[in-house]
Amino acid sequence: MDQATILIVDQVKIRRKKHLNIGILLFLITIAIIVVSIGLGKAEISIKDIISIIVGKITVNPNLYSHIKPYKVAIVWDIRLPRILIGVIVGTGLAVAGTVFQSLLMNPLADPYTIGVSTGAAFGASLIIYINLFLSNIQIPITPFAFLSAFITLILVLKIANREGIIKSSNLIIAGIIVSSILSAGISFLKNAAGEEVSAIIFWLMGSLASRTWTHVLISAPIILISVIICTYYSDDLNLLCLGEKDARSLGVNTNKMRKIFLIIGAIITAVCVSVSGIIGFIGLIIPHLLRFSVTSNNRVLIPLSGLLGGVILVLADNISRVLFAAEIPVGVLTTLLGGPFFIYIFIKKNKYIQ
Amino acid sequence: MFIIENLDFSYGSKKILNDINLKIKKGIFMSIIGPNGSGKTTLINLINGMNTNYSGNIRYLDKDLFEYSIEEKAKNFSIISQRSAIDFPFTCMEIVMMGRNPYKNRLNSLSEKDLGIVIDVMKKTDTFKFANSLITEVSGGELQRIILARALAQNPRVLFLDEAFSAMDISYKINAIRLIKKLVKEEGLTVVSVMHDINVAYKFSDEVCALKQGKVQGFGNPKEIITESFVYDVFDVEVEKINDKGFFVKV
Repeated sequence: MDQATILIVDQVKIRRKKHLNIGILLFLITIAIIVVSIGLGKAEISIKDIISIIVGKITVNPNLYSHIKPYKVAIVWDIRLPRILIGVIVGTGLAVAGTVFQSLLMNPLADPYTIGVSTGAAFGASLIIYINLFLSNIQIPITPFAFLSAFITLILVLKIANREGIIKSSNLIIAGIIVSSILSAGISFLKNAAGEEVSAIIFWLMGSLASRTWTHVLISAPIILISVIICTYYSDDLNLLCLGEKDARSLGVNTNKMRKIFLIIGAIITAVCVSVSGIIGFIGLIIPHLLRFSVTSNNRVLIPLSGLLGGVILVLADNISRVLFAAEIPVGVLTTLLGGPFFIYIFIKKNKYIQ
Repeated sequence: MFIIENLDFSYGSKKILNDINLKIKKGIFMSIIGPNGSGKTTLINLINGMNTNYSGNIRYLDKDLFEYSIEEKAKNFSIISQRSAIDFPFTCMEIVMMGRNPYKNRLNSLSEKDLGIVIDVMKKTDTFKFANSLITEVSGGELQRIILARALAQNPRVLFLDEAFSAMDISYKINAIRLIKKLVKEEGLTVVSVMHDINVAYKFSDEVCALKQGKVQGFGNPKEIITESFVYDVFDVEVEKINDKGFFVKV
C-alpha cells in the first residue's frame, strides 16, 4: 500500500478506536451517575452507607447494613435505586427506539412517538385510570393495559399503512399521525368525563419516574436489554434501510422482513417505556440526532451509544426534577422544556444537514 | 444472459410496456434509449428484479427471475437508480462498504479482502481521496461516483445504470464509461443502461434498444440501427450524422 492509502486507512482505524473509547467512557459515566444519584435527595445518606446497603442486599448479607437505620435502607433500596434504574432503562429504551425509527422512516426528525404507539399507551392508561375512579375495592393495574393498548395501536397503524404487503415510510408516518390524533381526542374525552378527578390522568400523562418499584425494573430491564441486542445484531440492515427501500433491496436486504422486525421491536421498546413512565419527550429525538452528527451514522455504533447516553441524560434530568425544586416537576415536562430549546439550537447550527 | 418474452406492464389501466421481446447477451454494453415516458426506467426495473409485478417471462441464466432470492440477486446485479439521495451523514467509505453487504455475515465486520476491494473501487472512481468525508457534504457528481464505486464493490455480473452519470462533469462521465467498458471487455461484465445522450449510446454501446410508447422500436448494433431517420422516428427531432463521429441536432 502506498503512503496515501495507509494514511486514509489509519484515519478509519482511529475513528473506530474513538467510537470504542466513547462507549467505554459513557458506560463508566452511567455507573458513576447511578451511584451519585442514590446519594442525592432530601434524606442525607453517606456514600459509605449506600455501598454497604447495595452490597449487602445483592449478596443477601443483612449484617452489612444492620447498623444503618431501617428507613435509610428502605430509601436507598426500595425508593431511590429502582427509580434511578428505571431512569436508565427508560432513557436507554427511548434513545434506541428513536435511533431505530429515524433510520427506518428515513427521517432524522422522527422519534419513538411518531407512529402513534405512545399515544396508544397513553390512551390505554387514561382509560384504566378512568375506570379505576369507579372501582373502590380493587384497582386495575395501569402498566400492563398501557402496554396492551400500545400494541393494539401498532397493529392498527401497520394495517392502515400496509399497501399490498408493502409498508412505506410515508404511509407509516401518515397512519401514525391519524391514529394518534384520534386517540388524543379519546384521551381528551376521558379527561372531560373524569371531571374533578382529571388530575390522576394528567399526572400520568406528564411522564414521571416517581414511585416506581422493583417490579417495574425487573419486567422492563430484560425486555429493553434483549431489544437493544437484537437491534444491534441487525444494525447493518438498518444502515442499508437508511438508503431507502430500493437501494437496500438491491444490496441484499429483505426489506419487508427487516422493516417489520425493526417496527415491532421499536414499538415494543416504546410501549414498555411509556407504560412504565408515561410520556417523556425529546430523549428519543435528540440523543440519536446529537450522536449521529457528532460521532457517526453507523447504527452498529450509534445504537449502543444512544442507549448509554439516553440512560445518563434521563437520570440527570430526573435528578434535577426531584432534587433542585421544592415541589417535584414531572421529568417528562423537564426533558421537553430543556430539550426543546436545545433542539432549536442544533437545528439552526446544523441546518444544512437536516435540510 | 437474459431472455425476455412477451413482457407486459401496466400502472392501473395505463399500459407502460407492451409485448417486449429481448435477448441480452453476456459481456455486452446495452443501452436503452427513447423519449421521456417511453418506459425505459420501468423496463430496467423489471429486468433487474426490483419490480416483480409484470406479465410475461424474464429468464436470467438458466432460471426464471422469480426463482432468485433477494440475496442471490444482490450477488448478481448492481443497480444504480435515478435518484439516490442520502439524508444520513455516513462517511463516503461507509457507503461504499455497504456494497459488500451481500457477501457479509451479520456478526463479522468487513474482512481485509473486503477492505481491499473497497479501496480498489474507490481509487478507480477517483473517490478515495475523500473517503472519510460525509456523504451529505459531497457534490452531486461526487455522490454519483460514490454510488458507482458501491455498485462495483458489489462485484456484479450485471450492472444496471439508470442515468448514473447525470450529475458528473464531462470528464468524469467519460472516465466512468471507459472504466465500465473496460470491465465489460476484460471481466465479461454485462451492462444494461438507460441513456439520454444518443451520441454516448452510439459510441459506447454494443447494442441499443430503442423504446417508444412502451414498444421496442429497434434493437441491435447502434452503428446499424441509429440513423438520421431512426432518430426522427423515435425522438421526433431532426439530426445530422457527421461521418461516424455522431449526431448534431439541426436547429
